[in-house]
Amino acid sequence: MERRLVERAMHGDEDAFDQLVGRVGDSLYSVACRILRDRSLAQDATQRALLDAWRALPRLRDPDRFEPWVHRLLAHACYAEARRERRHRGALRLLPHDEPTLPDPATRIANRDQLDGAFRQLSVEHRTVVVLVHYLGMSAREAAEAMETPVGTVRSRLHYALNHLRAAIDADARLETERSTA
Amino acid sequence: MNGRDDFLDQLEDYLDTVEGSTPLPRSVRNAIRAELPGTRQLGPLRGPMRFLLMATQLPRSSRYGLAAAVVAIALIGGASLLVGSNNPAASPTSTPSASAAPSGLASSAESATVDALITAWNNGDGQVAAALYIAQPTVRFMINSSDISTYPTTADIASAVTTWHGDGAVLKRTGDVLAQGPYLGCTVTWTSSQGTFNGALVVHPQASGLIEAEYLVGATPTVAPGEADGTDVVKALRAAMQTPVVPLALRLGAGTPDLFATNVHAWQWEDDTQGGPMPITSRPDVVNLNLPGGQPATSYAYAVETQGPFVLYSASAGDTGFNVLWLTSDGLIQYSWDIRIKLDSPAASPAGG
Repeated sequence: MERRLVERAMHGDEDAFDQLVGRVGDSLYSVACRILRDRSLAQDATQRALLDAWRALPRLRDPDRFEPWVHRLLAHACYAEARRERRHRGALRLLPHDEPTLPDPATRIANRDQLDGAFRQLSVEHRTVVVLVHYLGMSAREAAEAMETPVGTVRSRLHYALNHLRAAIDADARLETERSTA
Repeated sequence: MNGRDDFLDQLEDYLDTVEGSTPLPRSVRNAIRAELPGTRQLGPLRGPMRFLLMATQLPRSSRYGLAAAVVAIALIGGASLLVGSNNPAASPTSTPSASAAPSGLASSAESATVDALITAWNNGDGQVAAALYIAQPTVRFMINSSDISTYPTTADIASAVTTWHGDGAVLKRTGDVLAQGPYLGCTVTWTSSQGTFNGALVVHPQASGLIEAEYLVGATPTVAPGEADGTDVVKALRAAMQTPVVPLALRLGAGTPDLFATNVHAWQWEDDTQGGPMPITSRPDVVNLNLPGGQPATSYAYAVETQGPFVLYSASAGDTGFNVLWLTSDGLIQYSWDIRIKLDSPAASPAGG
């Protein structure tokens, strides 16, 4: 990220900030989409994070830290959107269906469906840590900074989330085995 | 699934492709651009916050120690106010003065292991972070403020332990920490030359960025550790108050630097004019909290910014800060120091009455 752009935006230069939005907007939005799994919510979260960033920019001490800083704001915005959404969203549960499982070439697709279902079941905090580490490629420490939690918490959340996702795929594999041997 | 690597490959492939292409919609970017002119940027930090920002330029251990001292003094000041301390050094009016800083630096050399919970927060717009923890047996706390990019880590906090033993007064934790997250609450005792007072301490941030410390005398919270959020703790503390406390009004005396409270029912205050500890219930109409007693006149300039249940007064000459003292509708006294407002004329004559 260009330091000069950040510094100009810190001094109220709207054009500079607009250019910053152009540079980080796609990345922020893609992260928000994956955390929230709802594009409308993701748009709101991204907009909220960027406007928070604009408001708070004069107090950013190190312009070189703009990108991790704005990711941190995004994580908060995602939490806020998820909380807001929970208030008026009923519980949705994916039910297993009885259709025959597709043969091996499609196993990966079946796994992907299981993965998707399991991923949606995770809390927003667990989804966030998975996205930060396995989508953005952050280290545990970087994710901890973004989520404002201790590194140990990030590791334990990641451990829980991966176990949950793995179990979903394992369960599907077991089901397939049982069907093929029946 | 054929193994861990395969699973992670699948997961990362899933994350890469699940949402397809995700450019930020033009409508969002336009909406952001449209809102910028009407969205005011926060100003650079001033007053004590500027002081804290300057502190961030120090080596990390000194930085946190310094900040810890500021908050420590603020907390103790708030507590001493409510237990009726007449000790000028413990008065909250002395809290934000710059002269308090060197003692914080000295304290930062102290080190200890972290044996308790840590809480951290920001003020909603990501500008003020704070961390606080309590280690047995003495309350220890610190704050990291001013910049979201410098949140403290556990290691930072461990290296910046500061314990407050101001003028022989010690605030000790007597029970479990009741909550983590945006609030932290616990039972404490305040011991000073004036005696020992049991109570509870709740520390939490405000949306404005103020750090609030509430000290409740006579409270015995019953919330089980780990089962409550901060709101529950505050409710429990309030419910546990042995004597109902009604809202009171605070004002500065006309022509004097004294602060008066009315409608106080529950607490005992030391009042020299009455020859010793005096139950406030004996004078439910008005009580002189005697905040500035004994302080050099040049150190303080009082000006009432508001009347009624909210008092704001400068804490020292110049723009080194000011104190805010107010009451909630629930009867809690809240004490804090603010960072953004500068009194126009520190030498202004008192306007209260």
